[in-house]
Amino acid sequence: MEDDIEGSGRTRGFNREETDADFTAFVAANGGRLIHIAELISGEPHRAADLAQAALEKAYRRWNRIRSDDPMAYVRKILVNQHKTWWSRDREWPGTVPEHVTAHDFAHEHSQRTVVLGALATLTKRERNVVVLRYYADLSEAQTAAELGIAPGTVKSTLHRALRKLRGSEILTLKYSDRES
Amino acid sequence: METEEENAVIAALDYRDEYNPTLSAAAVIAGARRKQTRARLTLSGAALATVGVAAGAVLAVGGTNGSGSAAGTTAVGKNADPAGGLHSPVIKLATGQRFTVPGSSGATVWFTDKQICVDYTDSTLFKTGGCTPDLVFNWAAPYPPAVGNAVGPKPAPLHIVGNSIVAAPGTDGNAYGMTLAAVKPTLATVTGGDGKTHVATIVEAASGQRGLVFFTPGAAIAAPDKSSPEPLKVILSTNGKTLCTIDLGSPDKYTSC
Repeated sequence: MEDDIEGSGRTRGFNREETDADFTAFVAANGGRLIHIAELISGEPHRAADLAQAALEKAYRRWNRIRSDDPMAYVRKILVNQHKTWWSRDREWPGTVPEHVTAHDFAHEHSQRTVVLGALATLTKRERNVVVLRYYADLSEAQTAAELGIAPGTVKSTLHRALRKLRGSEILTLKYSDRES
Repeated sequence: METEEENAVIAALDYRDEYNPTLSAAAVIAGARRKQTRARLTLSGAALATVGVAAGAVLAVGGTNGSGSAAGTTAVGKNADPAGGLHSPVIKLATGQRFTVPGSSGATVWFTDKQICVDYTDSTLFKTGGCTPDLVFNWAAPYPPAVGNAVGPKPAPLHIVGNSIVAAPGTDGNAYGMTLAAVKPTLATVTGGDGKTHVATIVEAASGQRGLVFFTPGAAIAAPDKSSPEPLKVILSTNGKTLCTIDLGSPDKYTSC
C-alpha cells in the first residue's frame, strides 16, 4: 500500500522510485551544505546533521510539490524553523541552552570553526540567521528577508548590527592557511 | 557589492576541515516514511470511528462540546465547561500504538501499560522525561500543574484496565484526566465528525477519585470529587465513540450527551 507521502504516488508526476532517486540526488549534492548551514545557525556541530536530517525528512514528504521549484530554499526555511523549535524546546531545560549559542569546544586543529562559531555566538538568533543566509547561503537581502519572513529593511539593519558586533572578533582577520596550501 | 568586512565574513563562514559529517538519503527517506506511517493514524471524523476498534487505552479526541480552537483553554476535567459538558469522540489505541496528533507538530502520543508518553516537546507548557525508553507526559517549570488539568507534579502513571480508559491519580487526592489542550498551541486541532475543529484531547473528564477511574462503553462511573458533594459521572457511550459526563452537582444534573 502506498503511504501518504506526497510523491509516493503517481498523481504529481514522479512515482516513488523516481521521487527517491531525485531526492537522493538532491541530498548528495546539497547535504553537506545543509549541515554546514545547520551548524552555523545552531552553533552545535554535533546536532547539525540531526537538524539537517529533520528538515530533509519534512521536505521529502512534499518532494513532488517542491522539487521543481526551489527545493533548497524550502529545506533551508524548514531548517531555520526547526532550529527555532528545538531551541525553544531546549530552553525548558534550565542550563542546557544558553541565551546565545556557544561555540562547540573543538580541538585546536579546528581553529577556524571555533573562531567562526564563537563569533556567531555573540549574535542574536536573528542576526545569526541573517548573516548565515546572506553571507553563506549567498542569498540577496530580499531573498533573506523572504526566507526569514522579515522585511528587507530589517535584514539590512540586522546585518549592520551583526557586522558591528563581529568587528571585535577574529573572524575578520582569519588567515586561511588551509586553503593556501 | 560586498565590503571588505563582508568578504572576510563570507570567507570565514565557509570553513572546511576534516570534520565532515554527511547525510544518508536512505536514512532520511526511511525516517520520513516512519513518521508518515504514524501519521496515518491521524483522523478525520470518519477515521475516528474506524480507528476506534482496537483494544487498549482510549484516547479521546475532542474539545469541550465542540470547542473550536487550538486555544483550548478548557476541555479539562470536571466542570471545565459545566454549561456545555464534555463529550469527545474517542479512538482506542492498543498499548504501544502511536497516535499522531493532527497538524504540523508531528507529535505522537502513546500509552505504555503504565504511562502516557509523548515524543514531541515543542511547548512552553510541558516537557518529557523518565518514560524510559520513551517519554512520559509531565509538566515543565515554571508551569505547575493546575487543578483539573494535570496528573500531578511528577510523571504520573495512567492506569489502564483491560479495554478501559483510566484517569491518573493526582497528588492532591483528586483523580484527573488530562488533555492535550493543555499543551497548546503546538498540538494541533482536528476536524471532528461534527465538522468542528477540536483540540486533541486525552482522557478527560475524570475527577475526584483516588486510584482508578475507568470507562467502558455504556457504563457510568461515579467519580467522587472532593470539591463537590455530588459525584461526577462519566460514561463512554455505548458505541464507544463518545465520552460523556453527567454532572450531578449542577442544577439540572447536566448530561453532556
